[in-house]
Amino acid sequence: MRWLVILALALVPVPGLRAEKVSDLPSPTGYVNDFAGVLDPSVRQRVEDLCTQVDRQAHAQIAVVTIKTLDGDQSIEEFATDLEDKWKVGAKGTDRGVLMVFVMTPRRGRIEVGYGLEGILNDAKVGDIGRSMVPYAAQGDYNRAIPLGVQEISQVIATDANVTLTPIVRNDRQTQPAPVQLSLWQILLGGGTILLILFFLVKSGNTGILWFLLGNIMGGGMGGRGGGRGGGDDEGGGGGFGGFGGGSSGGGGASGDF
Amino acid sequence: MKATWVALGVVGLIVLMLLFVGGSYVSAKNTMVQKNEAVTQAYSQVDVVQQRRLDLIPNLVASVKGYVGEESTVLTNIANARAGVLGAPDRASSIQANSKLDVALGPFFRLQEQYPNLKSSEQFSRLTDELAGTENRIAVERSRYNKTLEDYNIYIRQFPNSIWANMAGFHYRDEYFKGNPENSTAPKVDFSK
Repeated sequence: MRWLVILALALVPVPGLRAEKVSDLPSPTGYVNDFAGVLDPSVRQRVEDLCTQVDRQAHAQIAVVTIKTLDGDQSIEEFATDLEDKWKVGAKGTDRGVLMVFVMTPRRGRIEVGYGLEGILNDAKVGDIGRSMVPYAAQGDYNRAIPLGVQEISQVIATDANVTLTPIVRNDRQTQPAPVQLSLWQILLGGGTILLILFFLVKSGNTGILWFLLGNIMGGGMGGRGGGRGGGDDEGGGGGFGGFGGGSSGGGGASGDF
Repeated sequence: MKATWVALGVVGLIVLMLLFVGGSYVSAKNTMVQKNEAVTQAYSQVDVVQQRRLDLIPNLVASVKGYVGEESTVLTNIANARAGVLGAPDRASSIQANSKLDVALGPFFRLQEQYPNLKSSEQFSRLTDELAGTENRIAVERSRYNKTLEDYNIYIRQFPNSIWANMAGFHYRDEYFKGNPENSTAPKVDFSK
């Protein structure tokens, strides 16, 4: 019996040792999964919005993944196939999915096309799109390269599906609201008001209301955070990502160095 | 009286065993049919992408001819290997002929180094994309086929399925895609030259 346990313990880690890096990746939190951390939150959000449009209107899913490095001798092609097998970008049956993978060291990218999109996104076209991203990506300007590539791909899909997408703005125009800037004067005024209210509440013996308010604020904050997690979108806005379908690919697409 | 009960019990036991064995045979055979069909399906998928490569080669050859000249050995080797695939009569020889084509296509991707003019040719780079994509598709489908075949082979060789497989006529199939045998010998590097 004891030997059995030891044997079991000895055998269990074996599959773990052979594990690809794909198995270490967390499940997708959106269309854009910036594991290497090279995208600005605002750019990420814009690409996310575009992918949501493509998914809703043209029924095709685009996944963008950035990772720091590949595991050992695994090629980017194998990585992309493994990841597609795991995430299943695209809907089951139609297999309309595109997986874009960017590796930071060594710099290499791949656009993997699902079975259902091979007809409109052939390897040569995908290769052209990849090459159009190279000038920016080679300078490390992923905030420009990735939206460009995603936009070109979604344009092809949209034209084929006869829908029009709102293009994402590629210039430096801010689409997200500027962060709230409080001047010292405003802080003093706001803080003073709150202190004054607190003072009166305590003075008049209404501490019950105080605890009630405090509880509300805390509860509200917690609830909000929980909701955000549930939606799988901590950045707020956008939303709409309901996980990937059951798509599959057979190694179509193109890869290249940048 | 007692003997009758014993006899009945023995008969019942035999019937039960027969039912068990028969059930095992039927379920094993059904699974074998299913797995055998999965292997065929996976191979046809490999066939599709290999056919795609065969169709692509004439375009490729035409696009580079102007740059590298007719007599290039690379192109001749590719053409010969392609003819070999087209002439392969059955699956085993087709697998062999295709791995010869794999070898023949290898130097094609290095043509750019020999003929720098090719690099600027947009048509060439797009065709290279297509060929590289097809090669990758072939690799993916082959590994899926190998996995399906392995699943089948393991199933029919396990006890008691091995007995049923023999009775039902399912045999071990050594039709794997193997790596290029030339790759198993380490390349010799001669620095004296």
